[in-house]
Amino acid sequence: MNRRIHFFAGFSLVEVTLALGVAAFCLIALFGLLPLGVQTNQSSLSQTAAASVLSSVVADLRATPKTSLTSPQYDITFGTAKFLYFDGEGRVVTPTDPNATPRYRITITFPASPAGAFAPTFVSLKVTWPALVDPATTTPAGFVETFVAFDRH
Amino acid sequence: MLVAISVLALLVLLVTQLINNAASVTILGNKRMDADSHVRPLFERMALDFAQIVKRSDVSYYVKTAGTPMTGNDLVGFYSAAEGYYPTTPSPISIVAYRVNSNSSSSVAYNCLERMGKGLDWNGASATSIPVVFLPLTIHSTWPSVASSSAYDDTDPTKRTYEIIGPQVFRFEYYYLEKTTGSLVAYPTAWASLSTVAIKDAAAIVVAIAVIDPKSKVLLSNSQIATLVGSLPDYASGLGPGKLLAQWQSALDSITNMPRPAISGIRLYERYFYISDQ
Repeated sequence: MNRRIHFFAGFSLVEVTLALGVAAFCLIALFGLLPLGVQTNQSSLSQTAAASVLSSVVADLRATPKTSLTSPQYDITFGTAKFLYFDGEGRVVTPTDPNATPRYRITITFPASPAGAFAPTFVSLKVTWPALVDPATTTPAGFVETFVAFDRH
Repeated sequence: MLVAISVLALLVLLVTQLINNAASVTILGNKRMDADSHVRPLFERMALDFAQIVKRSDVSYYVKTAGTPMTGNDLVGFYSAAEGYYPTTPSPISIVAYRVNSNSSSSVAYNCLERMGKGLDWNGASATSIPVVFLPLTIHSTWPSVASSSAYDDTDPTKRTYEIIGPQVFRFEYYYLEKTTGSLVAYPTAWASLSTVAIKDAAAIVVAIAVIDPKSKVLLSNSQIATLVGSLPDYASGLGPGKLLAQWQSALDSITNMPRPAISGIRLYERYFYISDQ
């Protein structure tokens, strides 16, 4: 009598379904991490750009001749609070311009400086984003701020 | 089972698309951060150099004047109290110079911003090292590399005093904020030639640079970058704040014969460097 034994190598339907379930679960977990990564990247980008904007404005204030009260690049008058909008490329834009996309808003204020012949001039600068959020009334998504003292004598 | 596999395949496709899009956004952001991070220390170095520029009427400067108008990438050379590389006994004075290297044949510095920070000996300290020279001797006649966009002051590569400070910077332009008028000018009116330069006529030096990140740079050949340098116009007196960069951006936007991803990776920066009255 000729007896044949057949072996069918492979996985059962239950095994395959379970494996697919595990794979799908992992993919969904991965999918959930993506926005977090992109958001972190965006935050780093914003902070780097904001730091550049700050440096540029401080350099402009520093370059203002002592005989003048108004800075040459951004037209900031010492003693008068001002805010400016910048796009992602670090250019000054006006929020009403339909072609512009303001990303950052810098608020420049002049805290009370000490009196005296050689007293420094204090300037406080804060870059916030998104640009169209007023940090005085709404908490912005992020900000970078600095405080500078200038010798204007 | 077929349905399960189809769902999985769909999920994989979806995730792949998402990852691709996220990667595109991240790469774009990283390019910007890369350029920003590259420029920040460069500007800080320049700020230190310009802040400590030696302001005397008996030393020379190699700067842009009516007699040396400088087309394309500019050259600048001056004495500064910024620390330099000293040969022997250090004096507090160095020669500082900036240029974009234009030597296409052999230099790894081609199309990169270079800085010279050559420390000088005290006068009389060495029989071989040249110290600070006073007028009528000039910087560029004593150290000719200051007035060159490719030459070095020593044939020995290990002794060259120019170093690459901005490998991603391919365009370097500067102009002045004139002290007397408060206007931005290509050079102050009184600067007819190098011999009439009085650095105190300038309240600030405005530096504009174009930067290309490494990922975008590999898409362009050196000759294409050289063409780009020529496409970005020089500063002309009368252009207001930000106008030079606007002109550069327009010039970049109008370029159609180079890869768009490379051109869009170019970032433009401008910084005012105060020149102290002291």
